[in-house]
Amino acid sequence: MSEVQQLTYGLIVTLVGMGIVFLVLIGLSFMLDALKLLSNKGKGEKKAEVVKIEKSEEPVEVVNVPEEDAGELIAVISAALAACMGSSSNLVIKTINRVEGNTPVWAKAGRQEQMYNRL
Amino acid sequence: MSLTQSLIDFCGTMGFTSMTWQEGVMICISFVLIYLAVKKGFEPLLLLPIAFGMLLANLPMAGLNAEPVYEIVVDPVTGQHVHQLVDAGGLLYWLYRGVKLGIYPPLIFLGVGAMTDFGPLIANPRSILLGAAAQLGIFTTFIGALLLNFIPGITFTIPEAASIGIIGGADGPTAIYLTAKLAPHLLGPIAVAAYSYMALVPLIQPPIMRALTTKEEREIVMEQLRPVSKLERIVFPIMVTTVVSLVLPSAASLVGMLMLGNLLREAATIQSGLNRLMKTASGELMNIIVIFLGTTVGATAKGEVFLSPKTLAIIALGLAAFSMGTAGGVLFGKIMCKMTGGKVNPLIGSAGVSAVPMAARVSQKVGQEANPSNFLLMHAMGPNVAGVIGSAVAAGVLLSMCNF
Repeated sequence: MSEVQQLTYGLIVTLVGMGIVFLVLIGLSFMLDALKLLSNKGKGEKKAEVVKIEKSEEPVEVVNVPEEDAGELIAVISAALAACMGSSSNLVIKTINRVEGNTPVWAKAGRQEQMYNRL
Repeated sequence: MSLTQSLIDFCGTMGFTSMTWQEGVMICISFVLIYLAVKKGFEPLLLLPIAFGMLLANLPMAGLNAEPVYEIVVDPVTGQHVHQLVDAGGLLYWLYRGVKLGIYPPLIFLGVGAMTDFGPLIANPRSILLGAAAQLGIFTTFIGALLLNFIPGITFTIPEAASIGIIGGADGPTAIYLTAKLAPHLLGPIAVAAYSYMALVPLIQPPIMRALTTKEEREIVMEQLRPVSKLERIVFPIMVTTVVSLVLPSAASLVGMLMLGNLLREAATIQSGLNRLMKTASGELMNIIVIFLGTTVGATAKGEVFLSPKTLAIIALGLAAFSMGTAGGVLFGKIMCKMTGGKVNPLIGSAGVSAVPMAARVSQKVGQEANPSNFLLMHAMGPNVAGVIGSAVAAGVLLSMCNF
């Protein structure tokens, strides 16, 4: 085979090759979507229930607490605030909001180390 | 026989007297590689056995690579011609059968499968496409090698070009598997290039990733991945094996063993008895194979073959392969970023060139430089493990189209 013929064949292999790689992996990705639907049928209903319960039990003072154990979290935060401010009687907490992205540097470093250790 | 005569005879049996200059150079190269593996930590797990194999193979007169010698004799009783073993052959010759016959790489994949968590991929199925895009490096390098044919002095046949291209898959076992079948004489340089560049991923990738993305894109914080159910984890390996093997039977041994290992891992959470198999596959069996594979692959690097302009071309093309793969992944990541309205950070695309988990860590690191509170690691693991499947599929394509 001459150089030009080789190159032409190479281009064909490239086109077919990339095509097959993409086809196979796109196919797999759609099959994974289908798998998700199948395995999450039962779970979807459960999640909805949990949300409902949380809403009905929501205490008056708290407006915005994520789905963790709300009562415990509020208790901890109010106790910490009370200890900090030195008063325990006239403290009213109206909302607790999570602020994104203010993790201390050492906590981030620790988290990273944890992740790298598991790999 | 006089004393002097026997001393001269003994000198004749020493390696020094019959060493060629190529062997001397190769022994020095093996020292450098051993230094890089031990002191600098360049993929020591494989580079150290490879370097030592290189040393063993280039020792003159040691005959570790010697083929067995048979003699055809006439059987005195039956009068038929029969084989008689004259020399049993060297140790490395027999260990190399596992590479030559394509046995070791799939067994390594068995262990890799048992250690890999495909959860991030199952949670975000679209990330599998990044693992496909990053295979661009394989095919552009393949074309690049064929283009070098126009330069006088260098000729690569199509199977050779395909074996060089597979360096871009950034996946050692796949590269060795394909090269052993298509161009076994290039196994040494290709394995050394593949493993060295894999160790250099943290140096090669970041400049390309920064050049191809804007700061805003690098700062994108991705949504947390959903939890993946046990059922999905168990169905996944079975599904991938069936689909890939039906489309590409030539990739079945690599993908099949990878997924068997993964199935052992996931099924062990239900049937605890399987833990034993999982541990063996990812532990002792894998370690044994790594020793055999590394040493024998290194032993293919005989001086007279390794020291040629082709090796330099392979080293250069290998770098191009890694760079193009990274670029392909990042560019496809940008397309996905646009299509999802800015929900995908293009940096995870570069993890699509396998090199698990190094490439994913690089995505995490470059992402964190732009936005210190960003954690891309788990998002990058999706394309990362998809890259392993992608390069096995690409190897299957090359194997079936370039095997003359």
